[in-house]
Amino acid sequence: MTVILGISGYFHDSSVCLVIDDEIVEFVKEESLTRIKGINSFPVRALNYLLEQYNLNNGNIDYIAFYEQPLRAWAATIHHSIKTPWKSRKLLSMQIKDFWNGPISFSGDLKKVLNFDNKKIFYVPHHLSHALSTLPFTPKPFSDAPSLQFVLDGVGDGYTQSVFIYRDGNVDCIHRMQYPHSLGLFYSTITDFCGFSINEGEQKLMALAAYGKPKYLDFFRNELTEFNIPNFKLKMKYFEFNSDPEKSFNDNLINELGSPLKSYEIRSPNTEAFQRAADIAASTQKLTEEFLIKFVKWGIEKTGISSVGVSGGVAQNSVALSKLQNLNEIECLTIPPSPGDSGAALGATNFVHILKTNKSLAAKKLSYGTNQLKNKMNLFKKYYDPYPSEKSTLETICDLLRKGEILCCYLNGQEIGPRALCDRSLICAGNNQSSIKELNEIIKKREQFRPLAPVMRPNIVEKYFKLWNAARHNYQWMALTAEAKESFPVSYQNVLHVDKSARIQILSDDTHLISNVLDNLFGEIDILINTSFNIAGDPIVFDLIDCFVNMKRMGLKFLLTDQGLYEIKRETLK
Amino acid sequence: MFKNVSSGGLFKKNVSQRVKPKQILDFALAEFSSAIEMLQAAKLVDDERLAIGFIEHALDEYRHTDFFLNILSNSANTHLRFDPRFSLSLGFIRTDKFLFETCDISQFAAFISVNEANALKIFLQIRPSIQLIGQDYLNDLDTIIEDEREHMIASTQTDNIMLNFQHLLNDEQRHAHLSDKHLMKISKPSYRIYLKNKYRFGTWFRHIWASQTKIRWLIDLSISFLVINILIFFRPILKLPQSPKKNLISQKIGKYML
Repeated sequence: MTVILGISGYFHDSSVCLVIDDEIVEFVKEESLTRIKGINSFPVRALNYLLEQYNLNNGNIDYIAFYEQPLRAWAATIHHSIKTPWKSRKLLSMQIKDFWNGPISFSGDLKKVLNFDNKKIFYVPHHLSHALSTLPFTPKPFSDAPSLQFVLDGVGDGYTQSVFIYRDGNVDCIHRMQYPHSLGLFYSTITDFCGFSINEGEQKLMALAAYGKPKYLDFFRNELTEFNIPNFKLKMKYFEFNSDPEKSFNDNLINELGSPLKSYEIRSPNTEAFQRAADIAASTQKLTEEFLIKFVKWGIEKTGISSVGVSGGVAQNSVALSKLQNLNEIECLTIPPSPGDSGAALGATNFVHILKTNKSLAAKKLSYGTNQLKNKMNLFKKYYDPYPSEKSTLETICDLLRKGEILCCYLNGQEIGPRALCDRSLICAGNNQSSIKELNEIIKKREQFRPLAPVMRPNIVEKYFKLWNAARHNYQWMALTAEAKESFPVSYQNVLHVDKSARIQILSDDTHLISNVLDNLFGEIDILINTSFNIAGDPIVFDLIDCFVNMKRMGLKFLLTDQGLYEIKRETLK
Repeated sequence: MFKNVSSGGLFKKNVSQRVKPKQILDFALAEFSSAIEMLQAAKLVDDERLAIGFIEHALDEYRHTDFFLNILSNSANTHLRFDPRFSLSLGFIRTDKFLFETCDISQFAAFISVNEANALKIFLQIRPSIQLIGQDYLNDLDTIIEDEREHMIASTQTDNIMLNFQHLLNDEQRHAHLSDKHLMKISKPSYRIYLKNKYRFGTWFRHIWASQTKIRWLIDLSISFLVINILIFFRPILKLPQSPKKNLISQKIGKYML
């Protein structure tokens, strides 16, 4: 038996992945246990949780893989900042502190939890960790064939974008771009300019783009950036992220785009500020799409390899990735369910697995671990009653959905990526306008311009959406958007974004309870709305207490578990 | 809020009439951090009744967080944004252990009691400022939407703000009282006095430290200046050779931090 732990941490979305032999056994995000979204510290709680659950110790863990080479990452950014020491003093000050508190102290932090032999630790190059997180989700026969792996993120080990060739258990790098020229950091800067938080607001900017026209595209293309494919360069006179940790842009950008926006100004779609933000977002999105298409095309032409993977933070831009379907050369496209830093823990684990076995891991499911209800059963009974019904659970669930109720799903395990895929989801009928509005704006407290995602069975999705067959497997974990067909029924219009697209989920697992619900409701409710089981700004629920606290904060009543349907006790709802 | 923040500087006897957005953000972070600590306490404690109490407390703290975030997100004068991770980087929550993991139940109760009472004091101090913020809402709405109906909505909103704030004050008083009662049950009077004084002093010291931003900035800058000047000489060494490009899946690649 070979036990490998993969760890990501210190920048954003810390997590730990456990692999035993050829199986991915568990994937735990630190945010699930701390309840602090995007937590970036060393994942001490996730690690302790796994050690306890699986009785792991120095004796039975074979290898630990860390998702970057911390000293390289530190030296690369310091080397850049120290060119302009006075201007970069704030950033340098932070970087100096990072020497003691950051990833360089990884083995020391690990020692506090586990007395582990340093010789068994692997430091996997950051972009390689990203690239290798794609392989477990690549379908056969492409998983055995050579593939081209594109990585685009903010910065990792001093690099901002890379292209790798994976072939027969080995990897070669054919392109790298150095910090600070980063498509990811460009997107984040504009996110910040539009009043959203970096690392969280990028998805909002992507949604906002559909409302605007790319009026600033020429300026972005000619003044702000420079394409020399495969290189992407930024004109640094407009940016500040490379010298000040608190500012991403400077007055030069303000002079060109006007005053920076504030999030409260763009809540309602009918204001001047909203339209300006939407136009800026549309220009950013268009530029990202243009570069991505040219970049991937370049890689395919250079290598002749047509199986493609895209990972890194930029790969969370499902709209831009969907535009890659314009490239007929692509035979298979895979975006991992967790393309960001969190998923890189799995990639780091895969590095060691490939090194030892000469083959990649293959993911058999999308959620891992078990549900946590059994740990606090007495407390569970204090808060919830079994839902009284003479009908079967399935029938009762269908009845509640017909009535327009919103159900909280706590089924199976914890999903690996940032999207809830019906195991930790809130669901409601896709043809009930008032339920959808209530769920989005009142319960989840999301901005009006952000759409919710629909979930369907494979037979329905074919009928209503234009699918990209070379990337079809990605729809299982909502990595891409799809355009609605013209025949898309009016009664479901609310599941679509303003541009008539949706980030769809195809639920193809016939054994999943929600699959059975959809089959049972066939012809009545063919599309359900699926959004993550959390209040905006919080991590997805992990255990019973999180379920209860979130339900109470959101004012929801029904909890669907593997043990049946429960209703929150009335007296606790006061 | 039991991880509370200072309402003003060390030598300021009177709190400013207007609460600054930064203070509102700090209040939101303090409330959020308290919610997290309470939630963790509920998960860790064996006693079911205490777990329920902690959950209720956490729910109150989340509600208080929302109250301050609502004010912050409607403030036209700031680009400040709430990020839950600030609760770690600004020291509201320890990165390695939660409060409940570092102390026994008596210490935990004493900590809550002292800090909730302190929070109550601070909130009473800022009460007039909150009223002013409510008035600002009215003014904003008057300017933007100039009709009588919106005036009515605005006054309702102002009333709600004060009503919510009153709830928040009541919660803080109740939290302080409950933890006090629990502490009386589980510990001797002398130990109780010792614990309360210890946390009073700790809170006082934290507040002094937190309010001395300029001094901290100066210390920080001096150390950084020194280190940066040393690093400038080592700049050529920091330019590392390019990472290898061939055969990246190898024992050699993964063995070093460079």
